[in-house]
Amino acid sequence: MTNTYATIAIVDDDDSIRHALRQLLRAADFDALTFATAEDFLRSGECAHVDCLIADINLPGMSGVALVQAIAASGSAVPVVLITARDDPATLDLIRRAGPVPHLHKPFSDDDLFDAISRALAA
Amino acid sequence: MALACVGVALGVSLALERVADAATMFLAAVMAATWFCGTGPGLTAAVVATVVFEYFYIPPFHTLDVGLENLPRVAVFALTALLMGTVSGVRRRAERVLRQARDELDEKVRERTVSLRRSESLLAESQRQSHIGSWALNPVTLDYYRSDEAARIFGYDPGAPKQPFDEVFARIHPADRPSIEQEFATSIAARRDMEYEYRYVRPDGSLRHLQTLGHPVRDERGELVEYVGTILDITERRQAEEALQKTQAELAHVTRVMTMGEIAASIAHEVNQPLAAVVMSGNACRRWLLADPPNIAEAREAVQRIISDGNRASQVIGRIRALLQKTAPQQASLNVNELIQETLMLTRAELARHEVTVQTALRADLPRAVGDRIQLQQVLVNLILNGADAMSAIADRPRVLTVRSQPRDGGVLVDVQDTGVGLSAAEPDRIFQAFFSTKPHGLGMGLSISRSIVEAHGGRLWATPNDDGRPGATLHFTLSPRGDP
Repeated sequence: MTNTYATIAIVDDDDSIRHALRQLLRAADFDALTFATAEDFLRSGECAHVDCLIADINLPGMSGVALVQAIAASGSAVPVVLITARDDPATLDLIRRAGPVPHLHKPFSDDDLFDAISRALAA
Repeated sequence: MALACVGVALGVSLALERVADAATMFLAAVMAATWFCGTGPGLTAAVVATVVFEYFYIPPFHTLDVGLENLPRVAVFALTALLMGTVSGVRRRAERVLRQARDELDEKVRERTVSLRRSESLLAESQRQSHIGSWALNPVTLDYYRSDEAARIFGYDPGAPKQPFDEVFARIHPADRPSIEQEFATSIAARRDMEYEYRYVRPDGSLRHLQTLGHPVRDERGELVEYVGTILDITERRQAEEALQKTQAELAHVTRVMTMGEIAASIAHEVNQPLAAVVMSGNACRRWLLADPPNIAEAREAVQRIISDGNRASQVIGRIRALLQKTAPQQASLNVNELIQETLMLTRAELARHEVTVQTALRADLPRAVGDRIQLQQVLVNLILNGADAMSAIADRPRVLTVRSQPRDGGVLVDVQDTGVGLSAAEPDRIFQAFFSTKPHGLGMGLSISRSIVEAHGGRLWATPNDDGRPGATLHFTLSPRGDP
């Protein structure tokens, strides 16, 4: 991994996912910050400091896609990877509206995850 | 007046001494006085006329002396005058009573006419507003009466001459006419009440739904005289019913699809979350173990997470299983014939739209079956509507859907027979495959789901070509006596 010590923010309302993802990122030499909601993440002000954001699409309150749009609107260029456990029409529609953002369906392999992170960081 | 009459009589008889008989003139005077003035003046006139008659015409003239020889003549005159006065009086009174009675009668008739005319116009108005017409029919001569509104309902000008009964009858929609003809004949033969609903084509080509109610009228000997009844235009009501049923059916379909999609998405989500966590923790664990040196503490923590997320996934599966058990078929004792009748009623609008005639042959000695009413109704709806669909392209023969029920091996056998396009000879069972559909908008799930439901009830669902030689297919299903598989 060439991005050693890059800091990645995780926004997911599911405790297991948050912890497992943080563990996996740490095992791959990333630093990871976790947030349960999009609002928590925006309030933390970490948006300006993290190198990448992994956000669940189906969040309580502000959705992951709305978060992507809010970040873009604030002028931040932080790269984003969207993840979701759903593939219903409403979710697919949200993904389409998010534009050209890499997205992964849970459960995903770690190769797919790190590919997406690499592409996001390179963009 | 009495005196005037006698005076006139005297004047006239003096003037016409040679022509008229004086006695007749005086008697006429008495009659006139009685006639115009009543009995009292009449009797006065009789007395005065007797005196004057004696004075002028009984010798010796111009005296009131009555010689013995003239006494009978004067007496006869006096009696005749009195009698005439009395008779005329009686007659006058009788005439007056009669005239009074006639006047009263006239007045009553006038009043009745006014009230009749009012109730007639009220009836016409209420018929016009409620679209109810009335009619009377002689079942032998087929001569009939119809109200203005009845004429309008049949599409005719109420002012125009009546059409022959046959001509009106022939306007019943060809699909309904044979059955109405038969029921009409049966009602009359049995002197039974009539109650028919049918489609009717007006002379201008518009299609109406009509309801006819009729009641036999008998004379005192019990002989049928005529039928009287009403004709009601129920087109709007029927259209509203059809729209409602269509909306309900669409809603039910959408709800079913939504529910299935939502349940599937929700299951996927609930199971995918812990599975995703397991996969990530597994990958993390492998990375900690492959590190140099391996980080056993982190690896152990990752394995701990794998175990707990694995347990969580299994709990999700357990919850779903519990949920499915709650919605498992409800076992209840069912009258299958009732269920068939009920389902035919539910699908009536759809069958009418496809111009399908329904026949039933339901055995009264059918045993009760055990099962889930809603699910079995779903099966019947599917089979009936599939039958109707299979006939929608048929134009060269009647579209007839026949539903039969009969006891079979202690359970129930139901046949739904159509006269439609029939089955593929090579693969008659292919229609039961999921997602196989001959319909442009069909999901191809109906028969597949129906077969699952029937089998869950311990029965079988299969299809055969019609065994009575008619083109088309028959779908059969059985239900075991206790509903056990």
